[in-house]
Amino acid sequence: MILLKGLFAKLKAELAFVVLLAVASAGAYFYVRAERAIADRDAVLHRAELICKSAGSDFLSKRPRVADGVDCGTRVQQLAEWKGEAERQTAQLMAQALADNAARQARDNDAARRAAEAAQSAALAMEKADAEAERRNLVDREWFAAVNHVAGLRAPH
Amino acid sequence: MPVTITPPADLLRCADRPAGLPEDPALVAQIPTRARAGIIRLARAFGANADQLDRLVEFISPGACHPKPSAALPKD
Repeated sequence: MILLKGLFAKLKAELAFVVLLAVASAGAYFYVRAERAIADRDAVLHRAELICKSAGSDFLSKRPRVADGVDCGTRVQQLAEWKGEAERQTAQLMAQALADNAARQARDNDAARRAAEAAQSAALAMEKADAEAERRNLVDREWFAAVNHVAGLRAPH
Repeated sequence: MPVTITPPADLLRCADRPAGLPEDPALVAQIPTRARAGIIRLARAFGANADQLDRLVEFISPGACHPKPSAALPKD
């Protein structure tokens, strides 16, 4: 108790210095915080300028009465929208191309099957007609017709 | 802008199919076996090549060579 009382008495005597000390430490504290805030602000500003530059725009506003970063923000938003749109259209094109190709393949498979069937029946008929020609040692209308059929041709009128 | 391959127009002509041999009942001939076999080979190759060319042309521009059968199919 006596010790504490002595301390208070001493403090009272040095009150001006104690207050000065408190004010000075508060000042130092705020100074440090302000310094850090300024440094942070500069870093953020620099980063924002870099981001805007890479988006092809400027962070600092070029138009009067328009805040810094507004035009840049619009630009970035446009880019993001454009990217989404491009991706959507690409996907659509790819799907369309795939469907087109599938349709083409199906159509060609159909045509190939028809052609193969026709060629096979023509070859059979040709074999028969040629055997007949061999037997009679004569080619006649049937044989010529079979040749035309194999070649996919029609007789002249 | 869809990416398309467009060959020159002369590559997309359908197969040339001229008139073939005459089919006249009065026309009767003696052709040696080997010559007959050659004619048949030519005819077969001609038919196969013409069919293949038509298929190729149809693959690239549907309905170009056989307007009727392809018309029913969906056009892209």
